[in-house]
Amino acid sequence: MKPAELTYHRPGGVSAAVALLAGLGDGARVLGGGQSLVPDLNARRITPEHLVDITGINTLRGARRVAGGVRYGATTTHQMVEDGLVPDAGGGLLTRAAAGIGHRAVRTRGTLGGSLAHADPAAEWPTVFAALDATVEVCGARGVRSLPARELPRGAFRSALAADEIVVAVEVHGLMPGRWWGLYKTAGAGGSFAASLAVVLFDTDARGGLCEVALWLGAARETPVRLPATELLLTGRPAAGLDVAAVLPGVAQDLGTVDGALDHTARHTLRIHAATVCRALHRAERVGRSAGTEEGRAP
Amino acid sequence: MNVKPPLRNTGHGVGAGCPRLEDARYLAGHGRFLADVRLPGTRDVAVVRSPVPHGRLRSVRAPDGVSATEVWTAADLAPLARQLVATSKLPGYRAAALPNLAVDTVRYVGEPIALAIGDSRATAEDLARRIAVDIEELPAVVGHRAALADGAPRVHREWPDNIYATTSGSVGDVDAAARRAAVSVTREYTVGRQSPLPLETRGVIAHYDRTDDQLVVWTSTQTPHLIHDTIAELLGMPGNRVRVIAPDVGGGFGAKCTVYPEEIALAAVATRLDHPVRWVEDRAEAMVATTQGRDHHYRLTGHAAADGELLALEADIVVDAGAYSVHPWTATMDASMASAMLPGPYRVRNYRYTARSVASNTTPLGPCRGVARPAACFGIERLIDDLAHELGIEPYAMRMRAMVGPESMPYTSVAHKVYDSGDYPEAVRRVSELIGHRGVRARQRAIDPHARTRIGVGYGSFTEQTAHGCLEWASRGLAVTFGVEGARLVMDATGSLTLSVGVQSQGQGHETTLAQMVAEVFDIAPDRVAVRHGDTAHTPRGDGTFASRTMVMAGGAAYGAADLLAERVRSIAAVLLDEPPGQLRLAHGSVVGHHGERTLPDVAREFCLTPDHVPGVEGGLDVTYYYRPEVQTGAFAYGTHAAVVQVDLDSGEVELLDYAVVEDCGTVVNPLIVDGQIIGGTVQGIGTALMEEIPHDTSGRPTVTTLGAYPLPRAIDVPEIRVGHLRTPSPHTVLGMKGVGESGAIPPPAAIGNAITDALREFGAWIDRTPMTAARVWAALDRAPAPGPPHAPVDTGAGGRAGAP
Amino acid sequence: MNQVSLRLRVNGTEHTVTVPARTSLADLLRDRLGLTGTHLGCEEGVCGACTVLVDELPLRGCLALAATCDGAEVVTGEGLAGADADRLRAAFSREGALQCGFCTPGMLITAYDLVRRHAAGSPEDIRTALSGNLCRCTGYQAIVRAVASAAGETGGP
Repeated sequence: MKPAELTYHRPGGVSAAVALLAGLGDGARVLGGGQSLVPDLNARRITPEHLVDITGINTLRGARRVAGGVRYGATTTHQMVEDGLVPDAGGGLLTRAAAGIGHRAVRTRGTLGGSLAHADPAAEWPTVFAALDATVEVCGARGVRSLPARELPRGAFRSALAADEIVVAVEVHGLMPGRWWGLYKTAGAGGSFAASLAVVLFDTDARGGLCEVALWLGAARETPVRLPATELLLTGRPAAGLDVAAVLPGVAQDLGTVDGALDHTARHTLRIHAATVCRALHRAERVGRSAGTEEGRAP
Repeated sequence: MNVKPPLRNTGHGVGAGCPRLEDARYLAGHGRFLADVRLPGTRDVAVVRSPVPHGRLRSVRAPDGVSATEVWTAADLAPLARQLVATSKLPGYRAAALPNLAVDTVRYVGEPIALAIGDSRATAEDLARRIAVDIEELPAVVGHRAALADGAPRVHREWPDNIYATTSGSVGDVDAAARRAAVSVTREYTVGRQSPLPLETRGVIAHYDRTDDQLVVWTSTQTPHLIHDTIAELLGMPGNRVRVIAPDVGGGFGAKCTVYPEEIALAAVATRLDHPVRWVEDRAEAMVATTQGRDHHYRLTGHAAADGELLALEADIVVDAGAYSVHPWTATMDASMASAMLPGPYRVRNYRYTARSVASNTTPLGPCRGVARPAACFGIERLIDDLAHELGIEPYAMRMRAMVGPESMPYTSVAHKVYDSGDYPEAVRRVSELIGHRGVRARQRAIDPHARTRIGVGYGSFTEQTAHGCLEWASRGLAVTFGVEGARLVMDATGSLTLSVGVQSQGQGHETTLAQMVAEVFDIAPDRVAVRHGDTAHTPRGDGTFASRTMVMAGGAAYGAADLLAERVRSIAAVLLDEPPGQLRLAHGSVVGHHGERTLPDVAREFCLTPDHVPGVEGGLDVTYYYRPEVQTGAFAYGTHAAVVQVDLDSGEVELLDYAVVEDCGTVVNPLIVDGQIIGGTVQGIGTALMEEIPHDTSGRPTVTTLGAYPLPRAIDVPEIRVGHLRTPSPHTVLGMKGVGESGAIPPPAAIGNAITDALREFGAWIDRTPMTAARVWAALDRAPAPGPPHAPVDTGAGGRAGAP
Repeated sequence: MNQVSLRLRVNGTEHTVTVPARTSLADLLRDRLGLTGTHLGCEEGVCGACTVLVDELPLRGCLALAATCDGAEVVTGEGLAGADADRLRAAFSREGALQCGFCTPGMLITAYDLVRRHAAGSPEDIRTALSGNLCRCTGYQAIVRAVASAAGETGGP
């Protein structure tokens, strides 16, 4: 399994990369960390004539604090997040998400921007950044534009990026101290990719009940989905008492299904999602005063 | 040779847990696997394969302008090599040729159609993509039920149906026994299709050496001599013009002990080319083109007495053996072994069975660590638990009650297998202690009924025929009967020893354990013995490494050769020391007499360099010994595994909380290596139990075709496995060894299936197929009858009667 | 640019090579530099047998195009050296952590990275960290023991 013949380009700047992509048209693919692209190249599932490697663009790697949050360059690797080489705007959420991606030897190459552009419904970053309502900055031949991370995936492995556009950065508003985050991945066969991925953010009221809940689910549909009915169902209740039976009706409603009408496989899948939501809730951690240093316990 | 000399406990011979001699090269990255072999001028081969499960091959056309020596089709190969036909002497067996390249029909996804040759693998793949293959897809036979259905499409058009062979038998009086039974239980069990999946894929390099006038074929195989013989036969060449070399082999597990079309095709092509050709199977190919395992389907009825005695057993066995019969095993091996091994360690005397091997449009079935036994064990052991449940007996107690006891050894089973030695019930008792059975039961009772998890404990017991002789293989109808193994031992002028064997290692550590056999005789460190294997030009004839046979067979040959050479060495030393040979012994690397001693290098130097110092001693320091077990029924390893699982009632997810093994493989040559075989085998069995499967869609296409989609056990998927040993030397083998290569892989599906079923008893749910994925476990729960009252089995102890339920 | 020229340092030796742009780092190491200890078990990044260190970080040799490694410092199983590597090799042999040896160089690289980062804590941590390297022979138990043992000898975190 070797890739088909291809031409390799390694531009040194964003404008050069965009110009190349605009000039090469459909025969070109952007190469980030390559951890999803290269398996497809090796198997010849895709046979682009040109690869435009953007990992040589120094300005795209690394992160910096901006007002109210952190701006992550597109080629920042999962390992940089995992190892705390960049700030964690999620108060620990990003670090947890990064550490769960593939394996260490994949995380050292795989990039945040690459993951967003690849739009794998079972990948971590699309769901995490959707839950955090991050903003993605992209650059193309017609210039720079920003769009919500929630609007970047347009289907399984389809994104809102034009052929000449690359992800430049993703900007995340920092979670406020005291807010809770939970992430749980139930791995599918093979262990790397998610069969279900739940990301939950919430506050707690005076009685320990959940409020201001944001609950997102990956690997359930072609793109990450928000679960508003489940959020409502959770509101006012403490996380500790919630079990699969309790959240299942909400998850079913959010996924537009009726448990009784499904076959065994689909009913089981629904339960995996509900169980994943529960696990994210039960393992939730509280954002400390300075993000990532102080850990709380689930209420 | 079957007299057991006392072991010498030298600390480096038999019984020493010394680290392996082969480790250093692998740890330095200097292993030489097939893809690492570099021959000058080598060109790479890519194989064009069938994308459809069944089709009429209308045409295969090379692109214009490509040299005739760069694209090879069945028509090009036809004058060079005959097709392989796996034959069997089983009554009613239907043979079908296994084409080297597809001729006019393709019968499974992955079947080789053409070879494309390029300067690199990448350019060979470029060319392969340009070869035009025209196939008219035909209806495929998918699954054993469809294969047996009336009016099913036929995999082999000339056959009346899709059955390779049917065997059946009846021993005792099943019906009378059934009438006496307190309970009778009928169940259907399935063990899914899986891949043996060695981490190194297959591969072949073939080269016609015009200096030696010899065809040299490198192949990643478990059976170099078998490949040698088959290539010579199919290419019509004398054997002395064919040399087969198996370099370091990165795991086999049965995947590399059949003769493959690629081996024949590349060998044939090489005879017409002036450069070596190399094909390295990639993983996508391996998922469809390397033989697969299991795919067993059972309908079993067990009849038991109230005290747990197993009175009778009825079995209807169907194995989906795929599109072709592979050589030398044929498509019938799994089914015939399943029927023979189904009675397991039990004393049952009434047995009726039918075993059918059916053809389907899937990858051919081949050996897969444990062969039929993991599935047969799953069947009988799940049945034992279900019978025990009906009787209200602890499953482990029923096992001890129904098993062959040590007082009955040797014991001829109802399927005519001769169990040679051991204490089967003791293994059950020991493992129930090791797993903490009563503690698990206490934890079960303490679980809050409203909790959303349950725990369960389960057992799987097995016997495994190892190292059997020719007669046993002949009884299965095989055209090649294995049972003789050769070893050549040479002492050179420096006194160092080289042992050459016809078997081959895929990780079993034979370079260490076979050296230990020689070390045992000479009382030297094993690293003074170099073990050579895998090259037919430099090793005596041998069958290869499979069927848990090597330590007994090649070990027996090595020990025999060492004995012969030791005699020669003593006769030389007798002259040098002027003492009768009978009063000389080998100790600490010397020949020691009453009046003096000479080191082995001394003796060797005198004999090789100055033979005039040693008048009257005939021959050289070079002996070859062929080992053939006098008793051909084999040495039976046995044991019991126990698993504790936690099942999530909401998701069906299963977590292995604890796992214990008690086994008996007789005399142990190297405990470090034996434990490695047992634990490694057990983890493969856990894969069979919980994870691994190659399913097919309704059109017959496999739906798992990448390693990423095939869940192989990872380090975090398995618990620490605790191993206990019993040691009953086999009366039938040199030093009492029994094979151990496969045993670990046999009982895990049974033990885990029983543990899950135990956890879910209160809901009336049971497990009837592998892999026991979360989806299947949940579905079993979902289909279960309305939850009944919790049911606590009554612990009656061995042989005890059930109390009132 | 169907061909790419690159310069890289492998196991301490400088190399300048020109290869087809589609060449993976693993194939460059194996076919051009003769370093066949980097094994290919799947070419889809799953098995881990091709794991090597690039600029001190482990990566999959099959998932990195050689072209992206221009200027890199590469260490393969053959080149792994120093006290931690020696301890790991000794522990692997002592504990029986290898059988067929195919996964071994990649496994060693992962274990080495783990030990160097002082991340080999509990057996559970080690199992998690090794889960990107498949071994079909050993059942992992001896590997976990070997890594724990070698990590313990370095004094732990």
